[in-house]
Amino acid sequence: MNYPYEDFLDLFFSTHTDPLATAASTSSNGYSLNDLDIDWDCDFRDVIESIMGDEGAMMEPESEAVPMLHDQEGLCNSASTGLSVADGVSFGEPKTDESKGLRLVHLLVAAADASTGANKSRELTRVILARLKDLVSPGDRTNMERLAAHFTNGLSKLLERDSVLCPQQHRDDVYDQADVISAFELLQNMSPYVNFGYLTATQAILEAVKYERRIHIVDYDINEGVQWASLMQALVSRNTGPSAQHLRITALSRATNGKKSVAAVQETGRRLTAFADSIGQPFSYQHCKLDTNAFSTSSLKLVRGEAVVINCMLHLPRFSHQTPSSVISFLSEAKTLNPKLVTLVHEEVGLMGNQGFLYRFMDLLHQFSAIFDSLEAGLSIANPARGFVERVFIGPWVANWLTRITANDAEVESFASWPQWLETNGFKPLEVSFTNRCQAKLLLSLFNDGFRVEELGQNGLVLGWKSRRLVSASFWASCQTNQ
Amino acid sequence: MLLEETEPPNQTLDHVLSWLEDSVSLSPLPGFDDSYLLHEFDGSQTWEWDQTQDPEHGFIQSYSQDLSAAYVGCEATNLEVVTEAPSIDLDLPPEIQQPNDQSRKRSHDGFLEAQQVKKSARSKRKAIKSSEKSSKDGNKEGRWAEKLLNPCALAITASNSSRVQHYLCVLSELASSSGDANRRLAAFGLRALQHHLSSSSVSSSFWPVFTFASAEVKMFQKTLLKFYEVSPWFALPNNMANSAILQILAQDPKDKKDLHIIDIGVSHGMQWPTLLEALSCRLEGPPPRVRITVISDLTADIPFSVGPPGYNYGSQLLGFARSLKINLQISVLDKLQLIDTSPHENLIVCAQFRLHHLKHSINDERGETLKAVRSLRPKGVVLCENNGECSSSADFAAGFSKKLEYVWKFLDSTSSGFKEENSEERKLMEGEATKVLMNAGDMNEGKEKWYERMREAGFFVEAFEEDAVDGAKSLLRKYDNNWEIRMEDGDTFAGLMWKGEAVSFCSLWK
Repeated sequence: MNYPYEDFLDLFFSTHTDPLATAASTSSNGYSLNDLDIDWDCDFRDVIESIMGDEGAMMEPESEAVPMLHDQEGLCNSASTGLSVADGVSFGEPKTDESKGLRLVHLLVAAADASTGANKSRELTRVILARLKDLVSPGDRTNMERLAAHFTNGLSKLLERDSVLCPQQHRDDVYDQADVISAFELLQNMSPYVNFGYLTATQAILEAVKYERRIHIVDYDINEGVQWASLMQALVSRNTGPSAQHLRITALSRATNGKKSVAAVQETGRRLTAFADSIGQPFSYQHCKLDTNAFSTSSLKLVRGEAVVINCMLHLPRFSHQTPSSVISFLSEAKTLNPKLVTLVHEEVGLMGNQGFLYRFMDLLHQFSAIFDSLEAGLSIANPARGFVERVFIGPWVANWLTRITANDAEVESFASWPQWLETNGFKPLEVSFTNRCQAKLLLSLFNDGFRVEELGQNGLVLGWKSRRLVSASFWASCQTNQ
Repeated sequence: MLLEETEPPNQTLDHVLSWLEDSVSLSPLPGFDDSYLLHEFDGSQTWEWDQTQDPEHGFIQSYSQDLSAAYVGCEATNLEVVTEAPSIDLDLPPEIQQPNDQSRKRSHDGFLEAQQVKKSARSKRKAIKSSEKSSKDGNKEGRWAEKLLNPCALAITASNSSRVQHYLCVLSELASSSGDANRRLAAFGLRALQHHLSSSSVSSSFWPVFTFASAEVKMFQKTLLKFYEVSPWFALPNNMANSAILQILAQDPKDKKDLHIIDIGVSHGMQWPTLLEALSCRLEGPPPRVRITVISDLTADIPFSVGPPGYNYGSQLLGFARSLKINLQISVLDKLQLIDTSPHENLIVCAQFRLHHLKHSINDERGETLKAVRSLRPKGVVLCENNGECSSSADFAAGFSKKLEYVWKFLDSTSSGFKEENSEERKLMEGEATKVLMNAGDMNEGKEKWYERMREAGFFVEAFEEDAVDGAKSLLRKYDNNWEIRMEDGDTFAGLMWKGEAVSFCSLWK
């Protein structure tokens, strides 16, 4: 076969094995809650709908976001949500017939409600969060408890943030870089979430630059650079000797995110350069430091004849610090480079404007419920590796999302509407290739049946867990590009 | 100079308390240490206790006789306060339940001759506004329980059942019958909401709730004593009322008439020992005869009004009066009625925390009752009531919100009053107070409305005299310093405040 994706899959899943991950995959069947038949989903949906009904009164019932909320099969799958019955920790009220999961959801919604809006009450928020902290801890045994623990921590941070006069600095670099890398690898093994974006984007890039001599990728957020190792391998495997394509990557870093993130971008460059050397891929790496969130092409080193690719991965757990204005600035400027391809991967969160914090909060809870269910399918909650990944990634991820959805409506909405923005700002959709679609499906075949991939218009693919969309990838080009 | 500083009050106190059963712990009661009364005598011992006499021994007056006499009297009633028969009568022993006679006959006197309202010349006495430091908004921020209870009540009115379920669930997570005031308010409020939601009256057993009617007699007495000791909620209005009675009597010192008090109150006898004591200490001595007619409407579920079935303070009070050489008569009627008000007695009506139970929106029962009281031609009327906003609408949520405010003040003040974390006495008082949440009727009304009604009924407001005000202030010093008394409108209004918010008012009328 000519398609390079088999190699990718090997690259993604064979090179990162470590003892922890191996242990994780072998023990994934050790913990099953399938025999618990707790039906809490109806009530849960009632709660959500009633609250949505009030808060989102502006919205037509048939509008876009509603089906997502009504079809929460992933969320409502009682077996994989792993709810246990209430364990009687409460002080005497008759709770035994009510699942703890439902109680937690009620409390979380109440805490979110109390932390914003017309009835805002710091004191009430504090009391509810204290109760939640009594009920859950990050070491709990069920998905709902764990999820509630992360949301509780996130809401507590919001509360702290509001009470401190000077806003807290970003906490992205609290964790050790080595921890982050191993957690990242574990996450890749548990779920196709990360690799779905990388793989489809990389495939689209390979197709777009097939006949180019020189490739210049401008990467909005390079992270650990995992995406590019696989691209290099693919380039090497199809071009050898004098026909080798030259690859240049420009990674952006922002001073606003602190020194550690700048250092991380440099470190990623060293690793990629070393990797390119080892496989014989002609490669150069530039680090473009931005002093502010505003991006300007003048800060890029451009070479005539290069095919420019704009890579925008907005779906990663640690993506937290980029404001919509920063993304808009990047894409607007990037358009002037006349890129052959713009890849955009982002989280599918149903954030609409003018729905209020509570509505967004509920949606976020749905989203992360689906993510937790999907993780459970990959690695049991009882496995320590799961806890590690949650601590390093999921906790901060949830907290950052909570911070984001407290922003004003316009800003929140833009997190979820990048494709619309691109379409109305001079970008044209690029069709997803048959190869790319097949490759995504092949990736999913390595994971639980609950994962699905579907097409999103002509130019996009979306990864879902059961009926919930998790992440989507779409491909664009500048309208000036004639090809 | 106050007597309490020079005279050890223990002897007095012990004696005052002896009318209660020995089993009750006899801690000093600030509520009974009315130093202003002693102040009249300037510390000179002009009276003596007869320590050898056992006040409980050898007196024939039987409470039960009075009670049966009262029932006989009932049949001849031609004036009564009719209250809507509540469905909640399970707590009452069947033998004292009476069918509610719905007939309502009232006699109207028309307007009496204008009486000169005595204006107090004292202008120096202004309300102390010391504790206005705590702004209302500041208070509200900490009151989180209402931020769940009120939306829940609103959701109930809006028939949004899933939203109601949401709030009920959150409330049940945070409520506790033994936590801080917010948690207790959440617990009581939750119970009331569930009660409201359940059409059957069976399901309100979420937490065991204590009420006066279901309490043991000894526990009930102990609780009342403790409450008067730690909170001026009733002690202060009782104190003001007694002062007012003395004030009325002092206006005609040559008068040798009997004193007849109609007690429409909730003090369960707690108010009277200090009054009897003060009467016996007057230079001219006590009136020839003191009659106390207790109006005990057992069918009405007014908070604090119904004691346990076996509770009987009459004989003890009579014994105490005998020890003071006062000729006391107590009778208990279950309805307000025209009694044999002879021209040889000074009739004083003491209405405290009972009239708010009457309806006021459609048929103005409150106003009608006051007119009925007027027709008795009393020499004075003491009116003490809750002083709160009233929700004029019939909306459940609006009314519930006002009741919550009232209950919050009660719970918050008992939190600081009862130092013990899990005091049984506090539980009993709070269980009784929070009955308002379960009741359908309104329990609050602004002071202005009551004043308007009194005027319409033909009464004229009377200023409290300096002794009364001094006595009240002196009494209040013994309690938490969040309590405050506020004299307004030329001392015709005595407002009791908790943390700057109005709790109740006392007023005197002629």
